[in-house]
Amino acid sequence: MVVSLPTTAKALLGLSAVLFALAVLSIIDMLLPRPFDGVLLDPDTPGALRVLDVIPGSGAAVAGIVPGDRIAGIGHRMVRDREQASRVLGSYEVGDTVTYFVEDAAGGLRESRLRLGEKRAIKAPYAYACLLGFSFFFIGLYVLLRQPHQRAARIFFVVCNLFLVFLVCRLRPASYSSVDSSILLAGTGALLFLPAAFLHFFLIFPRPLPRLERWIAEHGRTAWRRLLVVVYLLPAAALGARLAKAWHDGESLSLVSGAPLVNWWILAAYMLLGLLVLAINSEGLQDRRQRRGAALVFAGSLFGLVPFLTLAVVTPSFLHSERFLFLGVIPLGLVPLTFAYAIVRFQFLDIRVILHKGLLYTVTTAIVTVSYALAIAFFNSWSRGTALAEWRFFPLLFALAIVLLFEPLRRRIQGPIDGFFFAERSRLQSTMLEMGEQLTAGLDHEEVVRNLVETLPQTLGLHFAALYLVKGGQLERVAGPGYLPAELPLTPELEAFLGRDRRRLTRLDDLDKEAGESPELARLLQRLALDGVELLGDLASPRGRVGIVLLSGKTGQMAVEPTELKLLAGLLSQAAIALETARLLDQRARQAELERELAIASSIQSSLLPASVRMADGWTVAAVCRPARDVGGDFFAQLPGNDDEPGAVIYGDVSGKSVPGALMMMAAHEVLHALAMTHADPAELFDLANRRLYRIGQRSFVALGYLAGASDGPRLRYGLAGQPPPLRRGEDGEVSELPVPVHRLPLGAFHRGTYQVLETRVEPGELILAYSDGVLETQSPDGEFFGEERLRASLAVSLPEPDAAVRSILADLEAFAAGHPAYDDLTLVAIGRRREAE
Amino acid sequence: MIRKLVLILVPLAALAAWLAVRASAHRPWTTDSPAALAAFEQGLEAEMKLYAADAAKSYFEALDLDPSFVAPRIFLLQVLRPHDERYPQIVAALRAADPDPLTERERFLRAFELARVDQDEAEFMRLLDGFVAQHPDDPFGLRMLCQRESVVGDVLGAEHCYQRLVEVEPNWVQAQNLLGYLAMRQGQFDEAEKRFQIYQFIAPDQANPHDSMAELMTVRGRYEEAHRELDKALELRPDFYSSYDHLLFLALAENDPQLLAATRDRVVEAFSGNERPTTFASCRYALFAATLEVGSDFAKIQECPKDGVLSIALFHTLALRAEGPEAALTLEEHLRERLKATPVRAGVPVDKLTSSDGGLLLHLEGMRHAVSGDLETARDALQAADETFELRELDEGLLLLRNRLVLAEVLESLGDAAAGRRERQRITDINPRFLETEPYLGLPALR
Repeated sequence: MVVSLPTTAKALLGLSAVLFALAVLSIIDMLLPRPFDGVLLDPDTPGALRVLDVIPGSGAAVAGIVPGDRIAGIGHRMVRDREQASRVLGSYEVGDTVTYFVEDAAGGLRESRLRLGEKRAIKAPYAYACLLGFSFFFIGLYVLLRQPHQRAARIFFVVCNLFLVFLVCRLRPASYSSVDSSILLAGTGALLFLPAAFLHFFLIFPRPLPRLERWIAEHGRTAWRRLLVVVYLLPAAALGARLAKAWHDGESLSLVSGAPLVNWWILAAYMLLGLLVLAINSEGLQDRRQRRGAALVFAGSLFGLVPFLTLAVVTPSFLHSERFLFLGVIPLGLVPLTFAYAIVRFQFLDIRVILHKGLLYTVTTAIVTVSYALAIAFFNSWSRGTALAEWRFFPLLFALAIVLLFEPLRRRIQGPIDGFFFAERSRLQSTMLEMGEQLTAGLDHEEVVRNLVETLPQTLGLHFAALYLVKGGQLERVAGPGYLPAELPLTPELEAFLGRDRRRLTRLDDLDKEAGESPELARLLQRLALDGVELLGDLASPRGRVGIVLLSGKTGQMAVEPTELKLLAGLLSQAAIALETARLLDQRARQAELERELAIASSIQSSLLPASVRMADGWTVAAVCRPARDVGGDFFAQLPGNDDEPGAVIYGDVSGKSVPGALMMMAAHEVLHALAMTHADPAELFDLANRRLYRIGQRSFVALGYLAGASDGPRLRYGLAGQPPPLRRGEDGEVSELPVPVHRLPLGAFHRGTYQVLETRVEPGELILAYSDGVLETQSPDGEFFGEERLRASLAVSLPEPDAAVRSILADLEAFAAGHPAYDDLTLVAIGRRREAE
Repeated sequence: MIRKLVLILVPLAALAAWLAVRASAHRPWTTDSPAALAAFEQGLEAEMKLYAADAAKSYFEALDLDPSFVAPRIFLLQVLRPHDERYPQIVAALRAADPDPLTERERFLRAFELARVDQDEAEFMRLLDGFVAQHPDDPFGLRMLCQRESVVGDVLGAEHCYQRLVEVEPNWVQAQNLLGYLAMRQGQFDEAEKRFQIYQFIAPDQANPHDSMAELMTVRGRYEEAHRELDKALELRPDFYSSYDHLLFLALAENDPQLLAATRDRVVEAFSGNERPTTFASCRYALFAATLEVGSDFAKIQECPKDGVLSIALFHTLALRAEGPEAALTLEEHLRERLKATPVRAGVPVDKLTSSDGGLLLHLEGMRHAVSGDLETARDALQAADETFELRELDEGLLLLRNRLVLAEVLESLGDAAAGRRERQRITDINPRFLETEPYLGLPALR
């Protein structure tokens, strides 16, 4: 709690120690056993020994001495002043009977014998004044120790010390002791400076008055200091002038509690001015909490000071009576009470008081217990002698009533106390909980961002919050002040630090070590610190880092407290999950959209594939194309032929998969289809298609196979551009490879290509199988490829009919893959020759 | 560390030295013996309360404790009578004392007493004026100044002086007593009563304050209170003759011959073996009894000393009654001679010095003329006497009232009833009961 104290604070503490000692010694002096007659003298007529009040039951009271009397002699000695009276009294012992010579208000003289009492009793009003004075002192001390560097806190401390001296020393009941004069003088001294200190405090708190600041800016701080000197010295100067005038005129100066009325009027003016300044200042406060605290202090000061000023200034001035002065002191208690409450409740003077609930509960229980004890005592005394008390069941009933009522009463009181002291904390907790619930319940990304960047700073009283989300290895600002960097590098040091120990919240200061190791991080942190960032919140979900939140400091001078950090950390966890969930949902939605589009694309693509293909009479063809994904790059097609003759069958394999492959496939399909309509020669077709597809670019190419059965014989023309050579299965089941052309570059790979079209005889019972490389690349769950050997083996045992062969090979492929996802599209085209065609 | 110590100790030492110097500067009496000082101060207190014997005892005690102590010797000269065998020794020791180490006050008091012993009036006046000018608030200087003012008859001056003295030292009983009498003299009866009350408070075991109060009460016609005060005084000091004397006056004022006789008897009893007070009391009784017409031998009264203005006036009246105007004239002549013989103090009018006798003479003349029928001359004389009389004490107070009553009678006889009523009113303003008690202090019928 105690931070290092600046020199000024130390000096003030030293001075206050003296004043505190003075106040304590003053009270101790009053309690020291010494012969005391019970007379309280009027402090403002020291020479006349005029009786202001008489302690009830004291020797003076019994002897008939009343307020207004004048003590003329003690113990057969005339006394002319306190010092003499004190000396005479000092020669007696407690219990001695002494003859007093008393002059009454009418001027009549009489002798009174009175017995000297043991010690001076402190009457309730003075005890109250002392309590008030020490309350001021300890509140001021607490504030200074908590905020020793704050000028307003130091001035507040001075005000509290002056109140202490005024209340304890100036209002001290005066008696004969010469000590009284010194102490009363100290009290008068405090009265001279108290109003100026009061005004000074409110000129700079809760914030320096804007007009004053402008004036200082215009005239300089030296002028301000000079003005302060004048403000502080004016009451003393007024007192001096008044005394000088009275001395010059030979008049007897009328004093009210040690000071002439002019000083009390100055006090009133200063205090009212201070209140006015506070009212003006409070209006312009931005922070709600500060405004509430200032309003409370204003109310307390107003209702505390106005009665005091009325009864201490106005009444003596106009009614020439200071009888009610002490009544004016009573409401002064509102001033320290409201200050204390403002500190506890609204962190006034930027002080946070940690109250332990356990202690408060204990205090509450104690209060209830004491109240009960008093009630019991009262009830007992009231019912004593009555029939109720005589009733034999009365004690039982009484005990039962206590037992039944005690706990409910205690709990009833607990609620208001919790609300009184912990309202702000409870409110904060419930607000954060509510926010957390909103974050987890809502899936709206915008809502989460708004909560983090707008609601959170408002709740905690921060200047700002900024949200950065991870995008491509960087942190991109999504929301927050524009002057913050748009992007932040997610350096490895920062990531490592955040990931370590699952830190949710980090102060920038805590990153010094990491900043030392990384100049980039150091620069970043420096930049952020300059922008007002104090806290770094990690938004990390179980899946990974979502982003970070940058938080500023509070609008007041307080740091974010540990409880708030804890709540914040929890909130950030929830925010991270909420953001992640929102992003995943968004992704899922897009994925679903994509899937739908893929399904559409697949459907479109499927529709491009002919349901069946045919060649000229005498030939049978079967073809199948299985994309590895929804859409693929493989295809087969029937090119347009002449008249009623079917065109050739082409089968292609686009480099690329999924949508890119499918799009390229469709492009190739359309190019070939279109060119085939005007170019029947396959070599020419291949060449033109190559050039066309090369222009499309995208670094894609198409492996193409061309199969055309002659209409007049068992000749099959075939061309290959990148496709593997087809296989022939003879009638005996032997599988061989067809001769391949010399050049068989895929279409679109190069600008120009050379393409050959070869011819082969296909006898009935033979099967020509053309395939894409996806067939060979089919993988088993063990990672083994289907390969050519298996294909040959599968072809060897298949039936000679193309349909059956395709189905058989497909079945073998499926059996081999055993559910393993296909890596590549596969196409099979099987051609056979009908026997009856011969 | 050493520097800190030095910084703390040096100012402390300087402060201690300063305080010591101040204390020594304010030391009022030069003695190194606290016991001697205490005894001396006790003596001063006793002297303030007019306990001369007790004061002397304390002063001697102080000298025993510190033979070099000069101040007790000074004050012993004030409380001891000059014929005391120790007196010359004390004077010699005082002369031999070295004045240099003494305080200024002691030097003044020593020089003053020695000048008084040497009867060098001019010197002690000079010393007094010089000291008071420099130390206007010194109680000892003031005391002497006030005494001087009283003696020269400057009432206002004395009053101011004594008032200043009681401000400085309110426990000086003599001052309170004298202020009471001064107030009474000026007709400020309430103030006088206060002063006597204060005196009673300061010296509760003294008879004198009660006696003083009794005088005031008697003049004011508060006879019951006067009785109480005199009873108190005699209770405290059964040998306090003054109170017996005032009791006789009270009996006269109340026209109570029984009390008169009883008082005389009390005096005889109290002072048996002491001729002086019993003679005085007897003479007083004889005169007062004759005044109250209870039978007394005029011849015997003639042999008695005429003490006090009222006594002389009463005797004059008795002489007028018994032997006629010639006897009265003889008395008047005697008084006139006495007036002329009174030494004149420089710068002070004769009538101021002895205004009692001056007034008395006028009163006697007025009485004689009134009895002889020369009312106008009587009126003039009585009026002149009234202007001269002051209520200095009971004796003169009663005479003043008597004078006014005679004047009233004369004025009424002259046909000026209004003036007569005014004079009677002036009597009742002072003493409401005076006119109720016949035969008005033995006044003859004038109408």
